[in-house]
Amino acid sequence: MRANPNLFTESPIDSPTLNMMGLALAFLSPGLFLAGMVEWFSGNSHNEWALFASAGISLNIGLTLRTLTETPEEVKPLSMFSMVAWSWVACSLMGSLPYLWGGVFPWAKFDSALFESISGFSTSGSTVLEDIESLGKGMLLWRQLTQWYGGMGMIVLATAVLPRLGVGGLALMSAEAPGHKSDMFRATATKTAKTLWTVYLGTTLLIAVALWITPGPTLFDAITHAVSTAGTGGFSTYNSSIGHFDSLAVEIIIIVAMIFSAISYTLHYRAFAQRDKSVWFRSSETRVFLGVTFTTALLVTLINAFGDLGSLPTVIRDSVFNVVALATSTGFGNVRADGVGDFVLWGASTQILLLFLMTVGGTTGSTAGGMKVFRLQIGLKALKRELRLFEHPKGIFQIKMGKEPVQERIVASALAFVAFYISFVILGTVAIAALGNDLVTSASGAISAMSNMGPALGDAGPTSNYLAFSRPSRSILAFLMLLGRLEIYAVLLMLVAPANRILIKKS
Amino acid sequence: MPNFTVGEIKSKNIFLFAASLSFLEVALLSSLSFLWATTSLDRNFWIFLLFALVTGIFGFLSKRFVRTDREFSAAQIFQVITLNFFILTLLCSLIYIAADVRSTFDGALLEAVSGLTTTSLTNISPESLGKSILFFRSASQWMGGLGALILVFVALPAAGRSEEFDVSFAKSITSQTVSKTLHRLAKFYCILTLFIGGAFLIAGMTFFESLCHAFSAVSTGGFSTRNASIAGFDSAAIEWVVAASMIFSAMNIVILWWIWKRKFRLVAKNSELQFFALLVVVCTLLFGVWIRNSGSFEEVSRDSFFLVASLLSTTGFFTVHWEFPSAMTGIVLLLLGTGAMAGSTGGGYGSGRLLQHYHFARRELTQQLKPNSVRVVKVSGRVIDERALQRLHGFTAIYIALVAIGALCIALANSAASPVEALSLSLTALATAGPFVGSGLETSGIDFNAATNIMVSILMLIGRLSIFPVAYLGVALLRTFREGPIRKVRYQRIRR
Repeated sequence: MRANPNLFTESPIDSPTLNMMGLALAFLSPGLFLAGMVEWFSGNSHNEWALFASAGISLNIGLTLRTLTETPEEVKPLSMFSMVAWSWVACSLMGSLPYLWGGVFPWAKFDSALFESISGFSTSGSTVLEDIESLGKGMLLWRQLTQWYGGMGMIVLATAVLPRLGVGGLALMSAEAPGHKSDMFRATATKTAKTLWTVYLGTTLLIAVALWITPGPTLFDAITHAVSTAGTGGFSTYNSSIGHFDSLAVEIIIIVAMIFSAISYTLHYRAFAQRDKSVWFRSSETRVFLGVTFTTALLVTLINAFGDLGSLPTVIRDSVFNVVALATSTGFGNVRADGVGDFVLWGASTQILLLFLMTVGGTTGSTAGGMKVFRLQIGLKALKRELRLFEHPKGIFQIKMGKEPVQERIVASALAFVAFYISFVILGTVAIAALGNDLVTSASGAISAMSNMGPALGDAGPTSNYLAFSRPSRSILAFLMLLGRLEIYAVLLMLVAPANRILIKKS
Repeated sequence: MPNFTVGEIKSKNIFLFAASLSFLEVALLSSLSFLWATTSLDRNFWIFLLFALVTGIFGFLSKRFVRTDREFSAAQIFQVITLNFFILTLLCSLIYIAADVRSTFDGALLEAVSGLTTTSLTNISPESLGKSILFFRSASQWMGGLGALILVFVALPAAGRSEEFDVSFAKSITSQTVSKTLHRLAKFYCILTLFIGGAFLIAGMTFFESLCHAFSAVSTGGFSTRNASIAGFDSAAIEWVVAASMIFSAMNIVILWWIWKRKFRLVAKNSELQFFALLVVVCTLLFGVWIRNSGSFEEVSRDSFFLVASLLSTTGFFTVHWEFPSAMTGIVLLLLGTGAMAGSTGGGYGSGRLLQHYHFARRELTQQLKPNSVRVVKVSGRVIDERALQRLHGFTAIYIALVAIGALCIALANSAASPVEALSLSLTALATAGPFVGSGLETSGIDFNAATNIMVSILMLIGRLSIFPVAYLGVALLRTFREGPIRKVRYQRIRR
């Protein structure tokens, strides 16, 4: 146990929320410090003090909170929700400070800075920066690192916290994470975090090395893009994103890396640590994910091949890259100098396909967003059961994942999540459209935000940015990003926490 | 009583039964339409005479070979209804081709399906047609609406799906015997038609027009006798009356039955009705805000109320062109998808299902806070069975999948269509509403080629048969194929 400084109180306050927030903020400071160093040595713009100051402040606040508060061994469900949600909010606030101090955004546009930061920490990758390349190298690195941190948080959230709470049917996955089920919450979370972060770090390094040794990207490019790929974020240091490199090799590496990052880190851990490579393909969720991605890529390629979009190799290249980028909720753009590869220009049928693909997202336990493949699977199985019930109206059918039957409670919970997801997308779409965007842009924007994707269709495509949305719409989108990242329930329950007694009594 | 006549051959084949039923229905429709064609000896006169005679003879002949005194199993009821719809569609499209309304088969198919499924998606201008054809179009919608009611109040309970939300209130209108229920339903449906027709007559339509519009309003169909639909009358009174009648047709027929029987306490307690009324009021207000600059207060409120009524009842009459600002388009699409109350002639996802989903999602949220508690979902004071909830999810999944697949196919077939147009056409077909966003405009990217016509027809049929019977038939077909070639006509063993 930590030493008790007896500064203000006799013993630390039992506040898991503040404790967690402190930890998260303290974690940010090395990243900020590193970015500051890069800014200092790279030369051009001198914003290092903004980054150093932020590093100091976050370390200070973080350590203070850590000393003053303590997390009990077992945490109540509601506290867990607020723990996660408030930490994310605190990190997003802290992350926006360097942008404001460094003059990336004027103080009058603090909401833009917050948007950029929320987009980073939620690993969305939608930007409101008109000219990304004008930023200093340190600031760019920090922008990329927010996504890496977001991914880190997501791994713990998805493998240790949410399954334990059984959010949206995630109880199904609780058996898979490292750390024993019977352990107390704190022990499990710490154990999981340590193990999986190692895998995460390894993955990032691997991607960085692979990018570095291919001709084209510099070391800085390699690291910054590896960081945002591993977090399935999609921020780039260039205005034209991956299209800047115009290199097939880079695209292939990024495609592989995106798919790898959208697959559960628990599986990666088991595959590497237990040297059991078949674990990837034994998981039905991974198989379905790969199947969905592959099928959509094939369909989109076929449809585009009949359109007027250039030669067949170009069409295949663009279709596969963009489909993978959207299926993994990464959202890198691949519009090259000649304007080829912009999926906004594709036909209506492809756009409808992409819209639905964007809602699915990656697999659970990964850094990807979206509804998650396993909920889609459960939905499809519910559909199949419904058809079977026609043949045998009195029959009782269980939904199975792999060979294990799934409890009805988990099925209901997963489907309720889908219902929440759809209703928030609809609400967001109508609200954004009412604030002045066309329907395709606003619907794809809402889906993109909820799935932590990045680019949308219509006016906010890969060549454009989120300035296509009005200022209030961007706040709505930022909220949707947070909602999507925290799997809806955490934010909802955090919002209703004061009123939860009424809620429980009434229903 | 079993039939002891030696040597009489009567078929148990449901295909034959459905065929004879369809023939009789077409005979009825075309002989009624024939009455409107008697004024002149033109092409329509001969066509309806021919069809009335031929289908009548075929119908009565085939009826002689079909046993009607036995009970059907649930699966067979669904199969009969679905087959009936299919055969009716084919016959009606034959009539449209013969009457030279459309020259291609797929075009005629679209018109026929659009009529029978109460959709009103059409590519012809009604004012160029003869009275008899106009009557035939509206009457086919009326027939389709009756079919939808029979599906809910006869077929679903017979299939043992009485825990389904659609029929949870059905007990007060259904009777012990199927024929009695049928009789009661048909009678009540006719009374409603008369009421609505009377109201239209008083509001200022001619007798013929009020009859046609009553047919298409009570069935939430939406075929009109004017090119510009209800706007063609240019009368505020007619628009108000039509809007009100659409709202009534969108209500659960059991609720109308309660009102008829003066059981107002039951009506007041129904939370689906409250939810429906809330939807109407809120959306009318919202639309009113958007189009507030288009005229006086009365005009704005009339237009927005009419639009909401037309969308929610999935009727598809229109007074304004369906082209709106983007957010309003979003709400229009949502209302299209929502559709009418369960147990009405309207289509769509159903506002009752939406209400159930809301309560369900709320339960899941509170369950998250108290993981060990056991909670139930209640609508209108009735506990919804967990099994019914499972079915709700199955239905939702199928519905969304169908909209998506439909939109994708429509977009593939129309390269000039925008995603919104494709989605709205798919939605409007599945909800059996009719117009879609951008319909009737020169700039519309949808040009109704053969592929679109067939895709839209399939969607309308699935939507009208409320998805499940089609799935039922599909499952039955699959099983038949799995077990061997399609069974031959089986004759009943002759009793000694």
